[in-house]
Amino acid sequence: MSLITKNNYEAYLLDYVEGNLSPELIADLMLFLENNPELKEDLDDFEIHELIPLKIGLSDKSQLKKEGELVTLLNYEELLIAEIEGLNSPEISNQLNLFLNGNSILKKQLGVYQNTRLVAPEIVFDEKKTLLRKESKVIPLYWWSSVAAAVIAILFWFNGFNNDVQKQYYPLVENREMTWEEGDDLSHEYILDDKTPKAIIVKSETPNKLKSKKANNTPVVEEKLYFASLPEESNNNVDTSQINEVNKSVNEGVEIQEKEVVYAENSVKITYEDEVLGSATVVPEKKKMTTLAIIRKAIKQEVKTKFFDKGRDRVMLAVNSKPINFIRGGKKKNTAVTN
Amino acid sequence: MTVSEYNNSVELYSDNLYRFVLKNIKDVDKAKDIVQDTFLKFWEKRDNVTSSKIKSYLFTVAYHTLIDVVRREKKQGCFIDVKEESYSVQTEYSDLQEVLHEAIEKLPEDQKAVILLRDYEGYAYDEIAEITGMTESQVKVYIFRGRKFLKKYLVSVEALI
Repeated sequence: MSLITKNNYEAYLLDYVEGNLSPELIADLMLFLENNPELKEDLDDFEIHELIPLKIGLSDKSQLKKEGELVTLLNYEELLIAEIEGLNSPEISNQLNLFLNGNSILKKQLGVYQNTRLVAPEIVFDEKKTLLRKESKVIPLYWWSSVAAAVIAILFWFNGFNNDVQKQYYPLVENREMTWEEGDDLSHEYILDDKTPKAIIVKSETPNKLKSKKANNTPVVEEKLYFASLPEESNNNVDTSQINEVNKSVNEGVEIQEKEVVYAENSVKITYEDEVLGSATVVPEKKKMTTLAIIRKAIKQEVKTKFFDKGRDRVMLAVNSKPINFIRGGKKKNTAVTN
Repeated sequence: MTVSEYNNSVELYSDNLYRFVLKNIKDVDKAKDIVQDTFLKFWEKRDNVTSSKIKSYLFTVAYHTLIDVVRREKKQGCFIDVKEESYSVQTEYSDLQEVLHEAIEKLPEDQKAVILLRDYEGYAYDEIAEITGMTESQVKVYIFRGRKFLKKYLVSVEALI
């Protein structure tokens, strides 16, 4: 029985055309086509459809050849760059040299590429010192240094607790003490002449008895203007009955101008705040003071120290409560005081 | 890293770093700021930087700071903006390097940076790749493009002279 049917005859036809069919199957295929003449046309279609290859060739195959010609016109520029970059193998470098030897124009290009290498200029970073870091030395901590540190800390704490001050050295004066009773005219004590500059410390012992010290040496004089116009001090809680006596003698509405300087006797710079403006950071301002006001403030120092800052021309209120005395000195510039 | 080693790094590399940044950014104050920032970061990270990588670390930090600054200010154009026709050769040059340094100013930022790292500091391609964060192939491409541009610039100047 033949294997060829209408369902598979195309495969046998293709094998027959390509010469892959055995003689037995060829005989069966021919017998099948004799019995089915309408299918014989398919055999003719298979036989005529054969492609004939065209003869097309690359004109310059040498450019693509690797063997024997590593350097070509297509790649020489990349190889020139690679040469100055040091990327070429010895073999390629030799080939490149051979290639360039035959063409002076291309050889010149190698020179141009060699010139594209930048030479680093000398540039100095002039802020180098700001980059440097300081070495921190490690100091061994012995037991005695720990004890010393503890003692210092305790002393500092006590000092800070009792007296919130920063030390600053003012010119000390040698003082002699003087006293006066209520009703004494003190105003002249504050007016110093040019020839014998001196300073006075005013100190309050009791509300009724004033004691002062007079300095023998010459204090540094700084200008400070005072006027005898005796303004009222609103926050004065001190008994000023004795001062009022002085007030009568000096307050005639006549202005007294003095050059004054006030020092702290104890040579301690006091951490202070501005009595008027309440801040130490405010811009200094002139403040008119009377001699009586100075005495009044000196009395008040029993409770709260007053400090006349010599550099700022204004009244300062000391934070600490340690009593200090004032040394006043300077020149009488223009006086109109009546006793 | 000790303070002494850090200070030694300042002595060794601050000039080179400043030169690299200054040549890229052309602004003395900004270049100094970048160098200061770089060494500040280095000081903060000094314990994580090995001795052999100090210079590379400094240039890496400086490069990325530089790129941030440049991109922020958008002062530099891209490569396609650099056209051969735009070469302006009106100056009289005293030497080749002068011409070359003018030419390098016309390169886009990436190409300029890699060529400066290559020529000034002598870094290899893989080291430049590490500093800039590019691939080695990218570095190679940028250097090749940059060299071609510089060569064309030199030839154009030579033709005019």
